[in-house]
Amino acid sequence: MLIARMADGESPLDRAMARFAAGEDAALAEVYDLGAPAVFTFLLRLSKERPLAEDLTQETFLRIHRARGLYRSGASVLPWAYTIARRLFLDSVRSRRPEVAESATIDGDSETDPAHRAHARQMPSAEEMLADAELAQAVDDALAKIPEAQASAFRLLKGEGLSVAEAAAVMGTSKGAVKLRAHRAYLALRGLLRGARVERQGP
Amino acid sequence: MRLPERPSPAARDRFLRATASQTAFPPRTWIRRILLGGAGATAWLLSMVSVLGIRHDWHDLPAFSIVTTVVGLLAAAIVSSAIALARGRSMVGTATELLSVAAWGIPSLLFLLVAGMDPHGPSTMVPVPGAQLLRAWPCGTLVTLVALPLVGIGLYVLRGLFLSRPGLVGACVGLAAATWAHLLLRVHCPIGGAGHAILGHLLPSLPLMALGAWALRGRRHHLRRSR
Repeated sequence: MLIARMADGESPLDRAMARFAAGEDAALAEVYDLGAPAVFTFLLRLSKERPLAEDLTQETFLRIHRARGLYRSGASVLPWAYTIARRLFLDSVRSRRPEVAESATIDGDSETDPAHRAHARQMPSAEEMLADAELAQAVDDALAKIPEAQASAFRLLKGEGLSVAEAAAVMGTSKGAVKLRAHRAYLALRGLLRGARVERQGP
Repeated sequence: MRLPERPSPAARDRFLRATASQTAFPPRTWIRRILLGGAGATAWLLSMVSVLGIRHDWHDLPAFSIVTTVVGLLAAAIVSSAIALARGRSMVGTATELLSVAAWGIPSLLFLLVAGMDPHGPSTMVPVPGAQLLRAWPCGTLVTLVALPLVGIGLYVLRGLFLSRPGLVGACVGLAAATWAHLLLRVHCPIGGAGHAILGHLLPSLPLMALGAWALRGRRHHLRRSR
């Protein structure tokens, strides 16, 4: 999970949002800095298109900004942000379906970001990273081949670390449906990844 | 392990610039809306009670039946309003399971309440054998007229909230409004028979639920166009 939760269940993002909702305008930048990486990563994995993911991240946080007076202190910001982001993404897919199907490359101007570099210092070795990156890429490729609802359920539970209830709120469905979708995604992934390994190893 | 991706610093600047030109709801908007909406709904219902009046045979009705019907309707109205207007733990409205249970369960409970209690209670004073559909439409119109402003108040309270299931929440807003109106009509209307109560008082809940669902689902289209 990208945003750590405090012992009382509130993350730094939730606290920053509470301050912003209470009228502290300066907290908005903090809300963006704490929440945008998670939302952007989620959108990037969904869309595979950096400019679109950036636009939708901005739109997501603009909606959060506009709704500041409606925020309930103690509410989880991340599931809220994921809900908005996912809906915006689905709307964008509906309005420009042919374009989104072709994924774009993900280039890394984020590597010039100091916060990104600081995070990178805690990283494992290059070999481990390469293996992880290959696996992650294979999972991403496999997730792109299964229905969006199943892939999103899997990503929210396993990738973003949301609880089943939070993922259900994001997807606008029941907890049972989220578990079922994630399970189906898991089965589909297992089949696809096994198939990919057999293909790579050859006959 | 995968690094979290980050939007570019330029995207961050764009976002912060964009917020300067966007009007945000001021702090405590929600509280203000709940108070204003609650006051408006109360004033509207009280004014309707004073306009429509209480049924002339009120004091002759069996106490158990009145209390059960009125308390049951009041509880259903309060519960459906709370479910419809809750922001939820994640700010995206009430959980889907609870919304679904409310959208199906509350009308079913009201049906059972009306069908079970009315033949032995409040509605039996002026029995109307047959022709219930004909006698039902004035009550149906009244329920709709009383409920429509309440639907408007519910939509006003929820304005700007990004809901996970806008259609279901809208249906619950319509249901809550119809239940309050049903309660008012139950106190006003002396016509007997469960058939009349179902056709004239309960049935208008369905178009009101559809209206609420349509009104909130419509926001999606607005979102799509506005981007």
